[in-house]
Amino acid sequence: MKIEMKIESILLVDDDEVTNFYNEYLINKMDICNTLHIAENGQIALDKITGQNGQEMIKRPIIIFLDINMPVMNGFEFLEAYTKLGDITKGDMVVCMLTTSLHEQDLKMANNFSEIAGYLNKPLGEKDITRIVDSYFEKNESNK
Amino acid sequence: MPFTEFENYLQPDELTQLSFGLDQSAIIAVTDVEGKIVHVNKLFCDISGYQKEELIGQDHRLINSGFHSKDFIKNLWRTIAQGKVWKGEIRNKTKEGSYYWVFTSIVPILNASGKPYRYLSIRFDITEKKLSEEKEKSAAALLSYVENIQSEFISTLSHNNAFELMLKNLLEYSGSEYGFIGEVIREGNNIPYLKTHSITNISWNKETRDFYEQNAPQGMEFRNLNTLFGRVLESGEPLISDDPYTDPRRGGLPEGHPPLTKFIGIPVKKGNRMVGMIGLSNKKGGYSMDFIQEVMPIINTCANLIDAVRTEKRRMETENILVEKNEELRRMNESLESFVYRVSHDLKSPAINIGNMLKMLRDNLDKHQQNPILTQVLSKLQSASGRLIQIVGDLLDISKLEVSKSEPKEFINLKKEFEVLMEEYDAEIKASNAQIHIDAIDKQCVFLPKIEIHSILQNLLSNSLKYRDNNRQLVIWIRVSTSKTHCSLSFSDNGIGIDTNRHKDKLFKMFERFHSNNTIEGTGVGLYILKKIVEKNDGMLTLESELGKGTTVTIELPLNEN
Repeated sequence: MKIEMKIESILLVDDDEVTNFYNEYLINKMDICNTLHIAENGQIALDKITGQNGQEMIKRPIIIFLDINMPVMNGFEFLEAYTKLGDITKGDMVVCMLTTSLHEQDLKMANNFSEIAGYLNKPLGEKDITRIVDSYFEKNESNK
Repeated sequence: MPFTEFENYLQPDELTQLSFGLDQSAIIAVTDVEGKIVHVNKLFCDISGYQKEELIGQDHRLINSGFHSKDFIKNLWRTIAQGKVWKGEIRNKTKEGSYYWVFTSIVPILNASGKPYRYLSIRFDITEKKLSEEKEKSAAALLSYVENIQSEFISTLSHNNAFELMLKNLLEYSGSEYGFIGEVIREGNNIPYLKTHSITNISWNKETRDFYEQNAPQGMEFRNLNTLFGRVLESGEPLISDDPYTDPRRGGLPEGHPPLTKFIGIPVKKGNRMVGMIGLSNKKGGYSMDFIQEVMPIINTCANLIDAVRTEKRRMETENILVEKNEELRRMNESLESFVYRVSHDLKSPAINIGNMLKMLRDNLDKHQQNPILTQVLSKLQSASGRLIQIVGDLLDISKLEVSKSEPKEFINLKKEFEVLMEEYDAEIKASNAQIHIDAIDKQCVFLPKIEIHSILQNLLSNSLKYRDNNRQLVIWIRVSTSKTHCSLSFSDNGIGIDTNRHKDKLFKMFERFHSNNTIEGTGVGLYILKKIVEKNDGMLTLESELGKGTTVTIELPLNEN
């Protein structure tokens, strides 16, 4: 069942400008969310979802596409900080890893975080985005 | 006269001739019942070194060497006092103090009442016979020492034990109190020093006791050459000292050193090289050069043992170098593997970015511009970047395979794993209208890391899908059979096949392709990865194929760790 609904926010967490540029273009073209946000590292992403350090808090629900290798705060450090957030702050968020290639060690690390909803290899495709958004709505539908 | 039959066939004057003959051939003495000498012949004087006048009237014990036991002597006296003849071997002492052996018969001369009033002793020199007997005995003892030392070394492979035993034997054999066995070591400056392999504990206070306990096991080093053994080290010649305290060749002993009365230093040589030294001290009566000749078998064994120790040391050193080199090679290999991994990983992002930018360019260009050349260039660029992404991706897969080592093996249900894969490839399978038969009993498993069996099945399936024959429907058969020890997976298709005769050398090489058809996307690493995984897991892979008919890949994998 395909649910044609728009998600409120999508947050791209990646330090690569061209990747962000293309993914932004792709998501905008698909017209699947109301607001699209970009964070160049884990710290900025954290500030954006908590509304700290001068960042405006992003409206829920949020789908986060998270890269691993980033300066300042990498993907795993972000996940560590994220798991410590209160349930209310964390609520209504989906985290999806989006990496160039998942190394076994990375996979092991990632398995420690139950918060991760999925793993994707770059490049991000339209199908991937649709699947993640759809599964979010399916889950919410069944929870009601 | 019961003791002579001579009178039956000898004339009385012939008896005199007999006594003359005896006098010429035997050592003769006559004593009274107290043992006082009343007569000796010339041979007696010759062998004992005394003048006749020095002997007459003296107690016979004058020539006693003190060698025989009290019981031995008592028995002798008891026998002759009873009027019986005593026979035996006796060691006597010369005037100068040296020894000689005689075979002795003592004949009591009886008076009318049958009591002995004199003793006639008739002796023959057997010194040479006794010496050669002794030599034989000591040779046998030495042989057994050498045998024991060698078997100690061979059975325990510990030269320490063998040297300990050797020193113990030498002390015992020579009757020495202290000793050491050392190896001569020459360092860069060529000044020799001595490292002990075995040394008697002569510590005389706590300080020296501690020193002995700490250093004896791994060998003590003696570098002071201004000593008696230092002389041996420098000259390579044996040295005997009968009074080490006043010997001018000695440099001095530390205070408290146990008394040193006699000393012998024996160089241990292998060919002309002096490889070691044996030092012994405090043998009663001192040492002689003959002693060195006597114990030569032990000295030679010592030389061989030191040689063995050195060979072993060199072997260990070589082995250590080998281990180090191996480790270095392993590290280099590892860094090379992770280098390939890093490079392919880091190349993948920009390659993907180029592909995506080209996609964006095409999306936005087509709407505004109708330049046929530009469109063509863009399409070529896109296919080139697609190929770049794929090659980099394949490289990444291969290097991951090499970098990853520690993934644990587990039993994986083949049928289930294949069904998961079919779902992943659902679109491609539908597009090619493939018919897939899986002939696997539910319980059949392989024993591999999950990621590797996935990679095997994925490569097999994607190869079949890619290299299908467009003139007929693609049919794939998968058969699994297991024995107690192995799992066999056979994967067949009716695709375009490979000319295995022509390409047999290249089949499993990286980046080899066997079809000129450009419409088939492939980089030529599928079979390489397959083979690599199978070999890594001690399995076997065979490929049978015929052009225009199809391909069968059979993989056999062990079901346990080696």
